[in-house]
Amino acid sequence: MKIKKLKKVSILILIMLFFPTEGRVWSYNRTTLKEILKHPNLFDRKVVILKGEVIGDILKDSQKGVWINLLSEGYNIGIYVPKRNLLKNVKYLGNYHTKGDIIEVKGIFYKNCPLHAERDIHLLNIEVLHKGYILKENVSKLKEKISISLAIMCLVLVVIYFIRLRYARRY
Amino acid sequence: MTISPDRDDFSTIFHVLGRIIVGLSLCLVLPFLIAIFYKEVSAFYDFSLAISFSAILGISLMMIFPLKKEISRIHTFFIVSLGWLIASLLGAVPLYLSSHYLGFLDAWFEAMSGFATTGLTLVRDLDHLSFSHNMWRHLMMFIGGQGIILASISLLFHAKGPVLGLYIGEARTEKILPNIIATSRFIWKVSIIYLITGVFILTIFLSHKGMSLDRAFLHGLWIFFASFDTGGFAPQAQNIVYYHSLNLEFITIILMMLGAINFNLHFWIWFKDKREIFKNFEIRTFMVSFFLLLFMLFFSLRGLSHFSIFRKGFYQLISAHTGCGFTNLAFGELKGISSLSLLAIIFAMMIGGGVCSTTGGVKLMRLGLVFKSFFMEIRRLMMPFKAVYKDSYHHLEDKMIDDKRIKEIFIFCSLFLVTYLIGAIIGIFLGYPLLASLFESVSATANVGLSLGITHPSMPAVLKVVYILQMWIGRLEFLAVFVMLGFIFSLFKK
Repeated sequence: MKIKKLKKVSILILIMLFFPTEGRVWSYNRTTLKEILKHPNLFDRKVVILKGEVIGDILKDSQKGVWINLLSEGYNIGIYVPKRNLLKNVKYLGNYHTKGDIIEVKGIFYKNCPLHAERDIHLLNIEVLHKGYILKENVSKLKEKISISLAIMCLVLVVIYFIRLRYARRY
Repeated sequence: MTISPDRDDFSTIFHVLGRIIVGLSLCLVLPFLIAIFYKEVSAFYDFSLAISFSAILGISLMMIFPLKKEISRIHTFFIVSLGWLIASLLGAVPLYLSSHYLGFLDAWFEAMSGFATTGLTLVRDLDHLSFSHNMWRHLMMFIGGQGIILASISLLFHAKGPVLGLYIGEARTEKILPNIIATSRFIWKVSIIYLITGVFILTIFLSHKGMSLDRAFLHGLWIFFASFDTGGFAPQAQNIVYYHSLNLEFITIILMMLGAINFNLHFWIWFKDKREIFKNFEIRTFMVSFFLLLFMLFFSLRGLSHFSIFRKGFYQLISAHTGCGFTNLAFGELKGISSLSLLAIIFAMMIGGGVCSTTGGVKLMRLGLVFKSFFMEIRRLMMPFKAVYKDSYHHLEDKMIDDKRIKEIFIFCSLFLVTYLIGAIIGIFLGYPLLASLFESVSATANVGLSLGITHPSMPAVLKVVYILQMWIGRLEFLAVFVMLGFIFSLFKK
């Protein structure tokens, strides 16, 4: 009985060693961009999973792929996307007017990318977690009031200045 | 015997400062228009408020303090020093109102960094900053690179002789044309021609990369401002690596180099002798210093591929040497390269570009003459006691090296070194490592903008103030600020 159990356990261990499940890799490298950028040697050429906002633009690469830039908790990194159609679900790119899509990317982190000679992530998989949206601007009433008052004061002062200038020239 | 300013002198100084402030409020109109065009409501009010406030202050100064005297030497030092301080304070107003800065001190830091063409930044969440605020950040670099006072004298003044002091006060030691107004206008013309060409190329390139045409134009314009005026700000938080493009980096290298070349040399190459580029003393000094430092960098980065060395080493070095401060490295990457590479970059930042250019630092001419005078001294000691020995250098024409010039240069170099060290010591005192403190201090004083991470909204307020002062006096090359302080001291002595 005992030997049978031991055999089963050994087979299970062997399976775990030689066929690591995808879930195991995912859980190991699910981390923050801050951690990756602070300890690049630890994550070099490893599969990482990151969450963040897509910002700016989708930029073409000299190769066939495209680039997106990810903003994650105040840190940024470029994500190299080998095929543009991987981004078909990405609709909102973050800027002043827009909150970009929140995505989860799975990719290989390169400390010194052999293809691009920069610190980047080569995308394997992307998932849109939250759709982006148009941001509403909140302008404080006080700012509005001060701005309008100063504009009026400024106009009055300009008129006085030019009247004085004209008067001074005439007399 | 020294002279002291009287009441009429101060009236003249404040009147001219009023004019400069009015000029600044006119500059704020451009980002204001951008805010209208892109329907940035909050930014619209920020700029409306800043324009009105600056205009009210400027016109009030002009009305309260009449121009009682012709502008003379005594006024120029006050106008230049205070002009830069006031411009940075007023320039900080719309930035502060954007809510992207921790406080007014951070916004002032950013504005001084912009005007002084440094490029150190304390902005938070840059990727969501409005187009209009980004335009203002970059426009400040263009105005500062050209010279705030230079802009004013070429646009607002008709005087000829007395404004020479204003020109020199902004750390421009050479006249290009006999008339100072003509010189300042020539500098503007050169810049505008490069601006049109540079922005056109960058716009085409960025739209080809996939940006919409209007975004490509604005990004092109801002990259031009930041590279030609050796500023180093960028519209996105990742700086130049945001674009992930080697070709763009090549374009910025050309623009940085053009900005770091003496405007006099531009004039000479355009209108007189193209071969001057090969003979010029500053260019030769640049070649020697750049390749020596590049060798140092190559040695320390050995093991990486040539492509990596180019992007990680060469680009950083050229950016440091021209005083631009663009970087294509990710967060913490610069910190991670070897100490030898960092030293090479520190030396490059200390040196800077040509005199009468938009760069900061000791400048190539001075460095070259320091070394030349050193070898001259050795040769002199090797000659017979009564022998008279003089050496020359070629800068547009053959010039003799005289002792007075060498003395001036050594004073300048000493002042730069002392300022670099003071900033570094304060950094160490506040708990930062030696090399990082020195790096940041040199970057601020030489108006470069590369950072090892000390410059951050969370850094101590004292250090922010120290860097603001370093950027200010570094940009004006000490003279205007120290003479102004001397005059103020003389008033108390009375």
